[in-house]
Amino acid sequence: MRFLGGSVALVALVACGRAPDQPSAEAGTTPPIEYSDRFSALRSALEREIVAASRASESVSVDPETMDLALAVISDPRSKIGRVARTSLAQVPAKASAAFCELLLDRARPASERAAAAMCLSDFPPTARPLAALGNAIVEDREEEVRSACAFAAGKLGDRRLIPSLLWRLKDEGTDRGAAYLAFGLAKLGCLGGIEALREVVRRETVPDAVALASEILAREGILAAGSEVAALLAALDALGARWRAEGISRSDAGSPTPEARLAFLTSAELLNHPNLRKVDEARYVLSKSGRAALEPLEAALFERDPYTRVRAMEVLGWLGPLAAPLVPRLLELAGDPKHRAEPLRALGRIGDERAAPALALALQSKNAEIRAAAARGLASAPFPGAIPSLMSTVEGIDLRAPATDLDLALGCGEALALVGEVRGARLLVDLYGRESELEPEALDRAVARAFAALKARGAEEGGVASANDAASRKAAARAWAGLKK
Amino acid sequence: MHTALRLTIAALVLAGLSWVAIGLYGDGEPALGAQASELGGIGARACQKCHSGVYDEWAASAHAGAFVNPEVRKLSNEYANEQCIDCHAPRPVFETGIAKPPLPRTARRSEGVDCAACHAAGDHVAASSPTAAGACLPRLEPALKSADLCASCHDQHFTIAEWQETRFARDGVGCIDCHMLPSQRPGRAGRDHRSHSSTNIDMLQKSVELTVTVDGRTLRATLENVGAGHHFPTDERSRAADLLVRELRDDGSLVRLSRLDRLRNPYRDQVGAAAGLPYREESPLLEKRPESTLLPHGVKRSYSLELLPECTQVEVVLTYKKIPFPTEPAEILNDEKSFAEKKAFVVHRRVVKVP
Repeated sequence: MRFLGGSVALVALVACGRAPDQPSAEAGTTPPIEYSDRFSALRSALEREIVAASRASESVSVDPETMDLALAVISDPRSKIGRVARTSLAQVPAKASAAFCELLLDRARPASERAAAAMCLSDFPPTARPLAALGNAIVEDREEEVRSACAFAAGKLGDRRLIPSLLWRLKDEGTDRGAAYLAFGLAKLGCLGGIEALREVVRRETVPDAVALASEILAREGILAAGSEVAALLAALDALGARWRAEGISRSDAGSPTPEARLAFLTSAELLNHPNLRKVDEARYVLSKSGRAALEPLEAALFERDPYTRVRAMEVLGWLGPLAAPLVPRLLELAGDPKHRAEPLRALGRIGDERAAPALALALQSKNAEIRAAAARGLASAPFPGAIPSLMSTVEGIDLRAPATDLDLALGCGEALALVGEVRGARLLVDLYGRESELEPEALDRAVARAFAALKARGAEEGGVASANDAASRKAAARAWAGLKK
Repeated sequence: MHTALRLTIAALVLAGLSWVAIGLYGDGEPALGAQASELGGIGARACQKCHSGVYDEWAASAHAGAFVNPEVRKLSNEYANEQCIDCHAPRPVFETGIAKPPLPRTARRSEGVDCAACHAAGDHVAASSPTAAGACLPRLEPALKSADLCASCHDQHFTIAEWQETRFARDGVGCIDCHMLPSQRPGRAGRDHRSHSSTNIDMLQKSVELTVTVDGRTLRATLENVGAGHHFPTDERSRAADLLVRELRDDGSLVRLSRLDRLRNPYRDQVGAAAGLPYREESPLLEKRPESTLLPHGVKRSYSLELLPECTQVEVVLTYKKIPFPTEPAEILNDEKSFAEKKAFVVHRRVVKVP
């Protein structure tokens, strides 16, 4: 009998033990997703490709004695001869001096010499370009002068492997001039992040170089603005930005990224599970500004065994917005995994692809408040006409007089409905003013502003709410509109 | 009989191990946590029904205001820097991983670091006592009292790493031993969920010792971190402490105002005026490259200043600010509004007659 009792306990315990990770009924009958170390596989494949390519091309070779001598010259900052030697060597575009420039960039003490080395690197032939040194200096050099020279050189070299380094630095660049050159480098490489940053520097008019840099980009693209007036430059940069955005952030003539560039983006993606959020954030920023070039490593990250990597990749896909549409089916697949149901929903909402509407609508009925909020927020990120019936039925069940009402759900559903032109959603938002203090600060005002702007765009009567300049007047106008509607 | 008993025990042990293994790893992969669990989605008000005393303490804490705090909103650019949400409205740390960076919550963000952030642990509530019982299914989780739990957020700006270098870590004195003292609330025992920190002037005063002497016409001051189990102040970016000197005449009028030091760890590559930032870094310890001037535990720093001839008494003030601005010394000392709003505290004030 006791043995039998033990067996029963065993079965019961094993059954209980499955509970935390079992897909819930609401998750449907999605088959288990196979996660694996896809990063490693992708990295190995790329490295094999790069090694094969480098074997086929001429590589830089410098005899060790020359390099020892070069090192000695660099390490003696007092010698006048050393300075002459450094300057001369750096100005000879030969293979040996390319390697020397790399050393110079890495170790020379005067910033002016490091900057000179960087500028020289941009003149070397493709086989002799030490990009690693350039990339490191862009990110890590203490002097703005050197970083700017490196960024300029990166733009001239035209190697898209340097995009992550440039973006990485741009995020934290503290000087306007440095930001202008980083933006120039990025824009030359066809990265939209560069256009956005260059536009900002030109707009502030604090860096005279920025105008020249912007003009060069625009001339190359064949849309040079007449004259150099700031307003004309800004308009031309906007036009170029819009074109690149439509093309997927990166220039279409840049072709698909080289294996080295793909490896560079992969390296950024590998930082998504770093224990410090700063690194994670930098990686997210780089990838979210890299356009379609980021999709390959992000897809690998979506199915990586480590759940943090997956979740961070989903966040970045959300930031990429419509550019991430090719990965919508993969995100829908992941939305069935109970380990991370909210994150795919948030990303799907931000991408704004109609294929996500059923999954988002279904999640509105989740028992879990976090999942409901993520779905509602997702539906409020872009118009989803396919979700209107579910939104309507959810809104019907919301009683704002009940203290325990899910206000995040109400807020998201109200905004989502208004975005597709449903007046019912806007009215719900106005009713939410009665419980505004319980909501995230300013969230309701933001939602009302977007909702009524959407109504106005669709030609619906919006009582002038969309034209209100501040939160107080928006609230007053919205309440007046609701009174009229009643 | 003995054989049957042994078999039963063995089966139970095996079952227990299976339960732990499956519970932790589910289908064989590391679990991010049972996000679908109901506990993670429960708001603080649900906990208030049974734990009103704890709720009141928490509601008065910086944790409760973590998301809505106007300064946080300003520094995060209204959360346009989305990474700030991860710690200022986190999902339950037990679910996302102890000592791992937290993940952001979508629901009830206004509640900031809510009850679930520390206590929701999948299918049960993490408790610090083995005898805890109640409707929320509390279960002892030793990690609840560990520094690793706090590390998820507080090590993002290196506070736990600083603590690990101190005698506190070696002696087993953890975060809650100073920041969550036993509560004096009536009824239910437990730790004080106000989680006192730099918002508490007593804690600030016990953290550092300031000595001031005048030797001839030379002012000498020392500042030592004697009590904080991490740097003073800790945290990168936001916190700052200034050591200010006011040289005064007999009638109390000001001869000169100087700053002996600014204790701060600038965020990322902030380089002060050169970056066009709304504050300036003037510490002689700072050059172009931002360096941390925080005062590590056990470290004493000495300062000296030649006093002007008109000066007959000198006042040395250590101020502490939760945000780095305003930073102009005169502004700090004269801006009563900022003190009223508790943006800045006078931690120590020493007045010495000049012979």
